[in-house]
Amino acid sequence: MEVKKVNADPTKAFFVHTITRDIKLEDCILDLIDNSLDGARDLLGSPEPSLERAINFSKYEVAIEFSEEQFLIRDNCGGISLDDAINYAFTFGRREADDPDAYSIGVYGIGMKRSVFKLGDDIVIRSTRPQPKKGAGEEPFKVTIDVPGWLRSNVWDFDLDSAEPLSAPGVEIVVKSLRENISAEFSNPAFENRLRRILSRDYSRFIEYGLTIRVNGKKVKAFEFNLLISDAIKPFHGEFTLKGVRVQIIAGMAARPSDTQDPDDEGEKEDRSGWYVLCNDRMVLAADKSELTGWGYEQKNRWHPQYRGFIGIILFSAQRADQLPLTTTKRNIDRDHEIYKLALARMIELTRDWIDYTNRRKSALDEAKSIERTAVYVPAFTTPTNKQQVYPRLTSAPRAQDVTIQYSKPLRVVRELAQRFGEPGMSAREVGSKSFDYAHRELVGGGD
Amino acid sequence: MASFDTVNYSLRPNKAIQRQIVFDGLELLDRYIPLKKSLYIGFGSIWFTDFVLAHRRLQISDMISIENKPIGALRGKFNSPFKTVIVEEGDSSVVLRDIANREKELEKPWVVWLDYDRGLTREVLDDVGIVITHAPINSVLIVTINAAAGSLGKGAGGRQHYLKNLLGDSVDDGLPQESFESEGIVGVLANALQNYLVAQAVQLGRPGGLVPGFKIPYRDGSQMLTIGGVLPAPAARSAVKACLQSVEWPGFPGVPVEAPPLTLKEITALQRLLPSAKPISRAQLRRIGFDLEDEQLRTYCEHYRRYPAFLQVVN
Repeated sequence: MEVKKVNADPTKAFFVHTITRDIKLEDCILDLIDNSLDGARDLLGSPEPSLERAINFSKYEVAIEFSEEQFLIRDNCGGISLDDAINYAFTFGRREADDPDAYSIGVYGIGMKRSVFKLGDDIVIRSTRPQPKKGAGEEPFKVTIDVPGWLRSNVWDFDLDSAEPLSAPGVEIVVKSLRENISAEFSNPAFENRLRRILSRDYSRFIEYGLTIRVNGKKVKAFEFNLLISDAIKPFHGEFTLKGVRVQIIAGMAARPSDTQDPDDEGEKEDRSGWYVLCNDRMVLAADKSELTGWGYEQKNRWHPQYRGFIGIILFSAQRADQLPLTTTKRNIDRDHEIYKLALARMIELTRDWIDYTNRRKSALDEAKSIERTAVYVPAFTTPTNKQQVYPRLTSAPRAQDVTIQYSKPLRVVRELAQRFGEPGMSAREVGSKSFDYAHRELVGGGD
Repeated sequence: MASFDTVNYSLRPNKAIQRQIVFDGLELLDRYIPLKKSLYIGFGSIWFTDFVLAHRRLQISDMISIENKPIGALRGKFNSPFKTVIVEEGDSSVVLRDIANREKELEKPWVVWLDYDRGLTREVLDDVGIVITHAPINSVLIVTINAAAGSLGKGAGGRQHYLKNLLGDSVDDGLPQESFESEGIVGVLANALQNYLVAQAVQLGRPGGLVPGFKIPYRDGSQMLTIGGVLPAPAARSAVKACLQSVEWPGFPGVPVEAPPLTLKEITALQRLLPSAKPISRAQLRRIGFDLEDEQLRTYCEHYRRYPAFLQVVN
């Protein structure tokens, strides 16, 4: 039989309507910020990320503004060169021959296109490059994409025209004719709050380095990672390097473990415990309590409220971003990645130390609390190198035997009682316990 | 104990002003999305004041009053002001779900006023969720809650934690803890709850979203708060938004509704000075023979057109 060809050409609709489904709106915005930061890092000479050393990003700013009608992101991070624009920035996926900037975050050459396609139909990308000291600089340009028109045409290229320069060398992206669901989110103040929180956490390293990120005019503050430290409590801080990827780990006690084991208590939503995974300074996983970071790995040590209070931070740094264990959305880890597997083994050990401590702590609670109270908070990244996580040695004899009482009552009644106890947010468990203490005090006349 | 056992609903000037603001707003909205054929859902209690206003001012006929206790329901039925008011007994969440399951009730927009006397709880938000999920397009949702600081927990930290836990990202993370002190809490709660309604409409996939329309802090013995908005059809969204953001929209009063109790003689004397381009001064009041605190005077002047005049009826 004669060899025939099978058509494997990509379709434009695949890029506009299909891959845009794989990413959340906030992650799209993060993708655009990543491009800005790669530009800034390049201007700074591509310094290596490190938990100990600060890089000066204080000259750089990324401003994001959105409303029901339009989205805008503007940076002063150096802009896209004409050559990059023509040959690289707008291609769909990175070419084999493309050589990414060292320690960048952009890996797959898909972020910007996927993001703007997800946002809306009317897209204008403007870029202005810094003027060289000698000779002629590059002319500022803009790329305009009318998505419905582009989908209809047989040509894949976008039009690039000269443009008015931006106020500072950088990139500005404006998207109008927003998709209905995107416009709805942009009109939602809770989305803005959520985005600000995510940016604060995921770019905490860059913000600490001096980067300014503004959302609708308001500056985003860095999320603070603090760990407790004392003679009896010492976080782990170590590193290893494999195949050009440097792996740095910090793990320890960020808060006293929970006295309660109820999932609804102490505000699960606000819980910061778990593992934080960073790749070239960018947060990929935050407060993770899943099997991906070792909780419940091989059916052991699944996350449990008893383990609250632990924070682990792991930073992967590599000159080539494609050596990092992250997926295209930069919101997940490639768990089959060789280096990640190695790191995971270490993470499981560190988690195990904490689990053991919280178990020991249960039978010597008063002693543990009194030792924990002497510890002070320090910024996690400044903790000294320490190969062994240290938690208090507990000597107290086990407490008198306890018994757990469990009963069910209508929720409304429990809430009413909580209000009468003067704390409407009190958990059901606390209401039960307080009711018992109340009855015990009234009828028996003693404490516990 | 039901609030009608402790409060005489006919003698509450600020409650009356708040109701007038809501119905002034609904009357204005009626020009953009007709409300006459709506289903009014509320907690009519035994007084049905809002039901009477809904019928008189908006010509709404179909009405359901939710009453969760058997005696309350029986008294509600006895006091029902119109033939078309139906009193349904049960917890609000159960009754609301039940209404949402009846196809004929989904054929017309709803005007829902969840006028609680309790503070913000998970159950309140559950009811809100049911309405946002099921209310037909061009419905209106209004929620009134007790906004006293104590209803949200002890201390600024406790209240911040409680609100964050209930309303999540709708509470601004950037707010300093002092914002949750008793003095400022009603403003924080109002913004967060309004954000929550908008966020829920997005999250629950309502195509026209929710356009905020009411943010009325008022004092009715305790600090109270009314929040609400419209769930428009996508095609009506921009018109509704224009209406709710126009200068004549009354739903966002610049001054909290905390008018002082006044005698009929004082009301008459004050009214004769109004309307006035310049603020009425205390000196003017003194000239006519009485005086009020600055705040009381300012509040009265802001809301005087809606200030009720009560007379005791001797029978």
